[in-house]
Amino acid sequence: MAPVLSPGRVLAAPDLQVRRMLVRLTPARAAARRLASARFEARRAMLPQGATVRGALRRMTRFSGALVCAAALTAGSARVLAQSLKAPAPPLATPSGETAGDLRAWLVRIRDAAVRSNYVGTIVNSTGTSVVSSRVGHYFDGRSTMERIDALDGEPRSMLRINDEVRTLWPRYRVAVIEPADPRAAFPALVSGNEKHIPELYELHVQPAQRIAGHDADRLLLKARDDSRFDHVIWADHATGLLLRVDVQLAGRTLESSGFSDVNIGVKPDAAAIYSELHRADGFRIVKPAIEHTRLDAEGWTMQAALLPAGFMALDCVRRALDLPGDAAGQANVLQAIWSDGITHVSLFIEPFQPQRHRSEGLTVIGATHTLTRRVNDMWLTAVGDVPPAALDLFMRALEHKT
Amino acid sequence: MSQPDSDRSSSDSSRRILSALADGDATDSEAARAFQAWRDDPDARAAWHGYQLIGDVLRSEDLASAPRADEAFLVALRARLADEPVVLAPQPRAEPAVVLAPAVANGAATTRSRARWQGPMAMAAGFLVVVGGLNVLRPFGHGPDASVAAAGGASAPLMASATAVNNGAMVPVGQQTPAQTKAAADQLAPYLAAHRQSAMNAPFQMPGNDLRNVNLVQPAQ
Amino acid sequence: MTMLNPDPDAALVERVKQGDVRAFEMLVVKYQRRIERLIGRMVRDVDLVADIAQETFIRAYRALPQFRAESAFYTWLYRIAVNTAKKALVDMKRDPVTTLTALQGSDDDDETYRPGMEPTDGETPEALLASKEIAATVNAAIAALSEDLRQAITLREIEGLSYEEISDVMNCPIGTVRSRIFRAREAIAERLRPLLDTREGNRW
Repeated sequence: MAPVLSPGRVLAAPDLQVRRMLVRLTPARAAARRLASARFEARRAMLPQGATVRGALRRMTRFSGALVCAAALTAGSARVLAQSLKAPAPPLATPSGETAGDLRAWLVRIRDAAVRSNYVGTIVNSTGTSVVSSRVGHYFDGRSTMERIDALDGEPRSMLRINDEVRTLWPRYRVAVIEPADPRAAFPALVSGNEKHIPELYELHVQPAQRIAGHDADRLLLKARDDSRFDHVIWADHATGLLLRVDVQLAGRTLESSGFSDVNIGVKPDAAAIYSELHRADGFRIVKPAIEHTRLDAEGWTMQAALLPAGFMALDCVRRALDLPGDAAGQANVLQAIWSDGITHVSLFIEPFQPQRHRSEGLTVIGATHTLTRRVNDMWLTAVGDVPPAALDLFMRALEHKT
Repeated sequence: MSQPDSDRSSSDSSRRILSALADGDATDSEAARAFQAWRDDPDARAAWHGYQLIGDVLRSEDLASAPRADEAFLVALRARLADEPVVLAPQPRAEPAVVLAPAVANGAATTRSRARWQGPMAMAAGFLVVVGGLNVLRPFGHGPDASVAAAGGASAPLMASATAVNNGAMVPVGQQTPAQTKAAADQLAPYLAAHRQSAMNAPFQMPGNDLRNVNLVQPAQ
Repeated sequence: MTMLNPDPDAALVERVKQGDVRAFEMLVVKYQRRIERLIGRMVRDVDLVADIAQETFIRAYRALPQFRAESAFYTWLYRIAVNTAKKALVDMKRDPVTTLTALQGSDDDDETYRPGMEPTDGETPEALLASKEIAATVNAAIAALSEDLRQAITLREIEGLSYEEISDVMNCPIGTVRSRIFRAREAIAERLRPLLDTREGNRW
């Protein structure tokens, strides 16, 4: 019997309605419904209303000028360096051409915006076979920088940065790892010396503007001038200069892409979002990996400058502990030397060769990141960077033991 | 519409899996086959549409809609999705099929900067692996646990998937078993973590790179 | 469908996140009708409804990486649809047609959605004879099913129970639940075939 349907009204077929009623009356059905409701309520109660980043950020408290939790800061260094900062300034103007001067001006604008902006957003990183995202908040009040990054995929963890200290919280392990932050990130006055060389290494092409994450963005192609680095496409918010997306490319093909899928620029600085998360780590085990600054030559090594890829300047050299593979809770002591061409970084790890551990020599590629391992005499070298493997090879060849 | 028995049974099994997937009851390997069927088999796509339409109509008859309208919608959306700036899946990498020259002892002089690549045959020893990513699962001091588990389901040997990622443009030099690859990944994880941490907040990088946790997964096939 | 059980869309969403754009199409096919109906209550212009629905799915695709499995995919998609429609109306400087005030009540924390309980006012123009025929055919097919099959598919599609819950209610193994639902769908699809077949080569 075909039911009559009149337009504009939901009318279930009579027999279907009857079926629905009969279904409802079954005692087992009622029990299942009760069970289902109970599960729903239990699940709803379990939803972390306050602990998610979104929950915390939604409950933004007014920013308090007095940053109370001094215990969380390395107070001395923060105070000293904070005094060198200027108050927040309006973003620098956008350059108009493609000269070296324009490229430097773009980079200054972008770097400045990165330090000074207050924003909250979601960043997505793709390598072509996987997608990872993080929720990011960055706050700057003219004196202090605070940052919070929550991993949205994989093992739950949050990174909290206050000026020059970074804490990475691992809630399921109840561990807080404390490390120093790159001081350049917090203090724009400390300009890395090789930024002025960037135009010699990359050629600027201004490309048509696009919209990224709801913002009008200027788009720049930094085309590598040699084979020792990749092309970088950079999208920067037109209004503020904030970096919105970066693609690392080789011959026009994208190796890796990182960008905001949504971002709110110009939010009120929210100290509570950082401190509330810090307090969550009360009772966590504190881990401070040993990192000791040193110099390559003090460790008995030197780099033959003629062999190094162009434009890479030494950034830092540290002796640090790395986790050993497997379930062994031990560390290996390695020397890590870091270079930068102003846009990208390369690390070279040097340690004594150990046959049980050091078995695989070769190249591993993850997105834009290449890792080269090699035994040289009685040492084991590991070079890592978002650069072509040729460049990593050059770093390895340039390394020389001082006699 | 008569099909040979073998066709009928394989399309039948696709339909069964799609029915289960529609209710969230497919196992990982079944789901993988369902996604494959969606790509390859128009009948499978029609079946999925049919099941979804039936469910909609059972719940509310004003959701009944002409399939042609539904189909037109999807076709138009596909075109728009193709135009989308890539956020989810960048174009497949065409990494140059190059491999390093054999390792040279320290101090051997070579010309600067423009290192010329030798062909794959020049690789004396070593491997070349492309992975989706590396999953650093544990905090410092707890030992690295670089997981090479695929996101559920049976995993083919990683080398095979590496070439699949690159559409055959890469030539793996030296074969590795998955266990060897896992050992190599375990070895690398702390170096990657240390590198990213020292490059943290680099001015022209998106924030969060140091926290990046990229899964070592099978590429979508 | 209330958020009682693991989201049945979880496997699909995960697959899309792994880079399989085609898998997103499966979600589109599943929700396109509901989304268009939802938008159709806010916007009268039929072409605009389809455009806004397209825009909704594009926005969902872009935002998918930030979708967390704390809510059902459809709940999240629903909100995107509402926001997209509101924005379109504002952009076009049109007065909202009907139920905008009714929808203003839905706040960010509302995670429940029960289809079939919203008011339906006004047939969307494209629900012509073909759609009436389809509805009638489905009803007739349901009525013709055996009790077991009908109960299984009704519990699944109308009551939103999981396979596990259905196996409790019907006192049979989960494998049997799966099989009964499949056979019910096939039986209905068989009746629908003349209405759904276009015979114009590969569709979809």
